[in-house]
Amino acid sequence: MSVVLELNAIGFYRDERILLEDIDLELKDSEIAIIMGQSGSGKGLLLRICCGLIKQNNGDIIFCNKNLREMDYIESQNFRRKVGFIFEGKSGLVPELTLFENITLPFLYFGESTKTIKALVQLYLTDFNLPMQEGFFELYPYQCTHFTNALVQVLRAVLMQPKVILLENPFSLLGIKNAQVLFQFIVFLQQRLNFAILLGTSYINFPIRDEVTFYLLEGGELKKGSAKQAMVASSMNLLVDDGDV
Amino acid sequence: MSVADLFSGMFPKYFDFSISRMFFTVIDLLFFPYKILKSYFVEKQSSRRYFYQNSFRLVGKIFLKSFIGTTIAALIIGAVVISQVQIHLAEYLSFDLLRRIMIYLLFWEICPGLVFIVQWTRFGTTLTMDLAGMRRNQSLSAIVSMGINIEFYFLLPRLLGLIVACLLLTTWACITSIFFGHILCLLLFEGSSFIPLVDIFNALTVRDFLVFLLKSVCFSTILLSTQSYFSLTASNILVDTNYLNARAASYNFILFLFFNLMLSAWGLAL
Repeated sequence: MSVVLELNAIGFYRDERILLEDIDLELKDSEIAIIMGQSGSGKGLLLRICCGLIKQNNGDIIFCNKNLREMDYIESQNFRRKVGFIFEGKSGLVPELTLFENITLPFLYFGESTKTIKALVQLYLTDFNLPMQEGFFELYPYQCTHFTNALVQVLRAVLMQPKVILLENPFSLLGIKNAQVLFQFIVFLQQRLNFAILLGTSYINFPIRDEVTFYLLEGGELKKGSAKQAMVASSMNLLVDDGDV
Repeated sequence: MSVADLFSGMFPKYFDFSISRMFFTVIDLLFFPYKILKSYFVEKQSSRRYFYQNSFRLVGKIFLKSFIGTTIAALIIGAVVISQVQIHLAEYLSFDLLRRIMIYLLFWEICPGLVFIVQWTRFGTTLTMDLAGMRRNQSLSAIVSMGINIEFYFLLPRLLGLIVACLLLTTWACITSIFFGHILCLLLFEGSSFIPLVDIFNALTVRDFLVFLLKSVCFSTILLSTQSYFSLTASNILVDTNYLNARAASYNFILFLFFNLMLSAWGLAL
């Protein structure tokens, strides 16, 4: 399997405070990796650095053998289209657009056809056995639950045929059942479309698969961990974290 | 990094936060329209169709939203200006001078300013609310993460829409103020001898059109730049709509007065 996303010695400082230091990470094709860390440990920051939303102070991000620093405007635009980003809760959707307009926004912007989008969304949802409400596409984000918002974000990211999807804890505001359905839906799509997943979360409320790689983010440092360590960290974070719960 | 950030910390604290900060913010603000316009040239050809559609839709939306307000205000101001000028100055000034005074007042000063104020209250404050709300709920980050340029997707269509809408509204305000103002005066002051409408319109020159068109373009650019600049550059903890609107208001007012004066002076020098 080839490496899709590579972080080399990433460092981020704010007001002389070290938030991330010497972060190395390799994400291979179709790999699922989970970054565990307490609320405020820098998971979201690291994910935003990965997709170029925030610029790191040190280190390099290599996407498909190309350094992000060396990309021109069009290349960086293509890079962003190949790296989907799912935000937490009701964030991440444009409030003045309907769910369908939110899904088709990048396609319209880049002058691409949106004819097959509706059919593709229906196909994915039907295949996964997820019933779709009547008039689902015409709803506005404020009319929907956190689950629907997260689902729309996932669909939008997936339809752009990404190589990597970064998830900034979209399960934190969902109940256990919805979190499980959403995670299974993402994995279902991942198996069909072969993209890698990098998820940042403080606790796990969804079923873990055997092939998942775990990382623990603590004190600005990222270490590889086992599933057992991740579960312990998740339980501890669930006890002490009041930020995400 | 903004110009204001570059020089921050160079001066004593109080001075730094007031005068110098304001000065460099104004410089940043003046460069902001250039940043918005630049996005048109860096963006792919395929994205431009969406931009034109968006701009066209916004022209209609902005125009219609402010149409009634502008009409009522222009009607009242037209009636006041035409009646006051003709009743009080007709004895002392020549016919030609009276016509010129009315054109200077309505075409040069009042109507472009009136449209600016109406747009400021209707469009400007809404823009700040939209942008601040989108920043707060991370919609802007989501848009950027999809490879979409915020300036090109959000600001440039609004700038173009606002400029075209302001040009149309200013023209409409000028015509309304003179035409309806004249009729209203005739009805209110029956029997008084007013300058015929045709004579007022005959006195219009290319320079008059140039000044009011340029003023509406300039004012709409100031309005959009100021309102969006503060929404986009304020730090996350300060993304409060009232605070941003208040900050933008002071800069809007100063820049409006300054450019109004400059363009009027330029018009006179022509």
